[in-house]
Amino acid sequence: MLLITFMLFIIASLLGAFLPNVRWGSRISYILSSIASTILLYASAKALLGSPIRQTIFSGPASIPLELDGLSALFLLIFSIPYTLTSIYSIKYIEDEYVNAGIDVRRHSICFPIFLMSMVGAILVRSGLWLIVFWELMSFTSYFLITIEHEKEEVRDAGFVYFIMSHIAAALLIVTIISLASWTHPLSFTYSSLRDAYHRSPLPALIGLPIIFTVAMWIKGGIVPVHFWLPRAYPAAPSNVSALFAGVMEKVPIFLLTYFTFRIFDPTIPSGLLICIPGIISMVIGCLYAIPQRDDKALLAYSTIGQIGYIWFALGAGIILYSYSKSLALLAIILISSGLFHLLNHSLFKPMLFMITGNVLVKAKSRDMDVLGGLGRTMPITSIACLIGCLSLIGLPPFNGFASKWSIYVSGIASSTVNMISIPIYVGVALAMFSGTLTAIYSLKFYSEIFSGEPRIDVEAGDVSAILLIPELTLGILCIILGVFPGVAFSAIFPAVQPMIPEVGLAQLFKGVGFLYSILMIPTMLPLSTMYFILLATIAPIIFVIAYQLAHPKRTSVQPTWLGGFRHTLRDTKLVAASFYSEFESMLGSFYQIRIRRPRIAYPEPNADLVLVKPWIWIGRAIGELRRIQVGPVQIYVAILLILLISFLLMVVIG
Amino acid sequence: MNQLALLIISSILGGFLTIFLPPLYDGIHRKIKARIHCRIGPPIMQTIYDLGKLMVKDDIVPEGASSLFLYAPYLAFSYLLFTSIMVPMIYLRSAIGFTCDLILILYLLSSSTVLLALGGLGSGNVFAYEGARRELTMTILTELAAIFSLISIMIRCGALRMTEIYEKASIIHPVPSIIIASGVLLACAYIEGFRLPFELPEAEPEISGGIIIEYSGRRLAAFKLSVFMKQFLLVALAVNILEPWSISNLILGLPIFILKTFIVYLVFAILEPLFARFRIQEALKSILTICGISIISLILAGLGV
Repeated sequence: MLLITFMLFIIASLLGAFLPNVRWGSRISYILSSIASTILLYASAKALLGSPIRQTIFSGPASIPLELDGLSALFLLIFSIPYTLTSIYSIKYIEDEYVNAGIDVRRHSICFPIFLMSMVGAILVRSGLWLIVFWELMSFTSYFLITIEHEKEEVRDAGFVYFIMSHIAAALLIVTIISLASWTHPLSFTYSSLRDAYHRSPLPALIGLPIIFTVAMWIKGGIVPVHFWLPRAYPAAPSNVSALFAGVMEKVPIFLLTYFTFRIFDPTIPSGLLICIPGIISMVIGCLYAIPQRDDKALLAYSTIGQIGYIWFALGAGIILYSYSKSLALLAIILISSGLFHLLNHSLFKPMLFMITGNVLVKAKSRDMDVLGGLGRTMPITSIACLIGCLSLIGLPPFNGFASKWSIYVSGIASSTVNMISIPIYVGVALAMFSGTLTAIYSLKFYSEIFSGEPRIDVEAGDVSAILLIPELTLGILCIILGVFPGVAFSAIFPAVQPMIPEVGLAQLFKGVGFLYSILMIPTMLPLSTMYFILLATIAPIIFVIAYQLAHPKRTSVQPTWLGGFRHTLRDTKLVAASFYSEFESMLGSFYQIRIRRPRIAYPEPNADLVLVKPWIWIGRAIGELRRIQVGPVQIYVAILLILLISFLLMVVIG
Repeated sequence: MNQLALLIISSILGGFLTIFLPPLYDGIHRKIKARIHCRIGPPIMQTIYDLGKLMVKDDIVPEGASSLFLYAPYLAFSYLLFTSIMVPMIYLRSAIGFTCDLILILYLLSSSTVLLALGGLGSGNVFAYEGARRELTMTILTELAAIFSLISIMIRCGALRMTEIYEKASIIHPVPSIIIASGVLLACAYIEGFRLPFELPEAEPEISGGIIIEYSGRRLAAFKLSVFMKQFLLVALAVNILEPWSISNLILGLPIFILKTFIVYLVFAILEPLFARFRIQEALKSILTICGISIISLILAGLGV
């Protein structure tokens, strides 16, 4: 079954390349991709229900061992939902946005199916060599997908930065895999032999390799010190590609990190801290930077950094607790599962929001929130979908974001009574709640600037076509279903996570969740669950209010909006997006100004007649140059970090 | 007495108190404020009369309004009414107190703030937009302070659920971290209630009512009541953590609870005439100071003090 889908992706790519008619080539390519993705959905659901697939494609030294069980099946399920819907969306979107505008989309229809295939490959292979192949394939195809409008300079720039960063990540991954493989006898790249090799390797490698691997995953995952490619690449890419980046590509590093930490390296407290603390930092910084953005896709890009931070935080916290004491395994497994639940939810609402920006782009031809406004009247269905997406992102009770964020908070605080080791965890929970408020702020800005209020630009009447709306609505319905019945998600996630932490049995786990935190989200215990009360509390008063309104029809008159008695139109007076949080921005000014380059002040040269003075000036200059490591752009700092890491590894290999 | 009957009685009582006490307190507040201004002032029941009158008035809806404008006040009201069942006010084993936790309560309270701001944004009026913008900007920092103080309470008491927190708090009481944290919560309640130095979202003389400018009739009543209820719930939460002894007393519980909240509102009423309205930067700076205090309580709780 897996072989069939791989073949389908390749056929789709070939048809996209060689059909003489570009329009039909792209259509057929996306239709075939969506069919292949649906097959993947079926296969992963089947594997989750208990019939894992193990198969090897090709034989001999270049064989591809594939495995579909537990964690991989869960991730494949999470991937295949946005896969299917984004492929369907792309059929119409690429045509409306690019083919009709006369832009050559052939590279897009070639790369799109291969991109999908490479990400599936990266989570299914059990061989280091093929992991590198699929990883590189993912980097190359995604580069071509970003740069579809390569005649624009900012797109070329974004593509270049992305290309460099993803290849630094690839280089670090290759370093890890090759040096592990060099300790195997005979030479073998399968994960099981890499694991044995790791445990036989010398001490510096025992410490260094997990660090190098984690840094590679930071880069690809858009974690804060190395996130700068992400807010450039997302706005430059077409909306369907951004949807896949946020919904799927950001999750590949998380899968690899979880798998490698538990199955190849050993979970230790430092490795947990390396995941947890960058997660906390990106959570806060991503959310803070999302607030002042003008470009709607840049806002969503920073929001992605923030939400990915939640997942990394939960994952890292779980690893810390588990490696601190095996008796905390229950807490650890619940934290990790909550993180994965948030991952699932993020792959539902973030692609949806990116597709909505795509709809807006098709209709209003702009991404600037100062220009957009009042589209809710012309695009009613899109605006409803956007509201559902924003509310899920904020995490209001009946939506899925609430369930996952809440379980992260609750399980994080429950662990805070342990001792010193839980300090990063409870600080993380406090900052996660703070980021939750920030999320509410920027999501409201996103929705209200685009859809509410009076129209500021003229667009033709009528919503976009049905193919562009069905994927969003499907995702919206899934968001609500998972928000109302989070037990469904947990009953899929627990069996996937539990094999990695065998100290806790599945039955104990399901019992422990209900007993410890009264989360009680498992379907069998639903009558007592808090979620049930929330549902009741949300729906009952609404019904009450609607009934009351119907029973007592009040006279409601529509009057013009009051504008201080002047003869302005609403279009003249509306505040623009840039003014939304200006006070907050000016208060945190020093924080937001990290990226502003200040002009250099030229000091006059001291009168250097004396030979004795000259060396001091040179030393002063050298120190000034050294200072740039710390106070210059972040990139230099990161580059030096990477050079140090690589030289460290060279020392290990040579010594 | 039957557990279920207690549950039903206490949840009805909680909802009843949350709806009717805050407007009464607001009437007292207006009276005291007027006396300090050397005016006679309206009768104590005036706020309740106002709300009752608004309920029978016609609704006027502005042209540019979205559906959010129409439903946000009702939604906020229903969220808060549900929260009132969960905040234990009188009897310890009240209502759903034993399955819910502080985080859920905080969530519902901040959701209602967000909903009210959405209603303002949905009206399409530029003054309402300005008011909602101020409201949201201030909420960021107020939430931060509230979150830090709630987490320090949870850490110090080593519990998540409301009942456990109150039981633990009444045993270990008084400790500095919990006192500071509940003080911060009271300050947050003051800010959230649109009281004078922080009255920026409404700012009658400046942006003519701001966030509520386009509301009228029953929606305005729901909006005002929601603001009152939000403040009252925060006060009830903080006051019971600050002084938890009498909460489980079935007979004395109700009068003592009313007395406690009355004292807090009395302090609020005396505070308000002392201030002039802050500019937004000043307001943000003073809320930031409160955040700093809440961080101190977090550190103290972490140290086990």
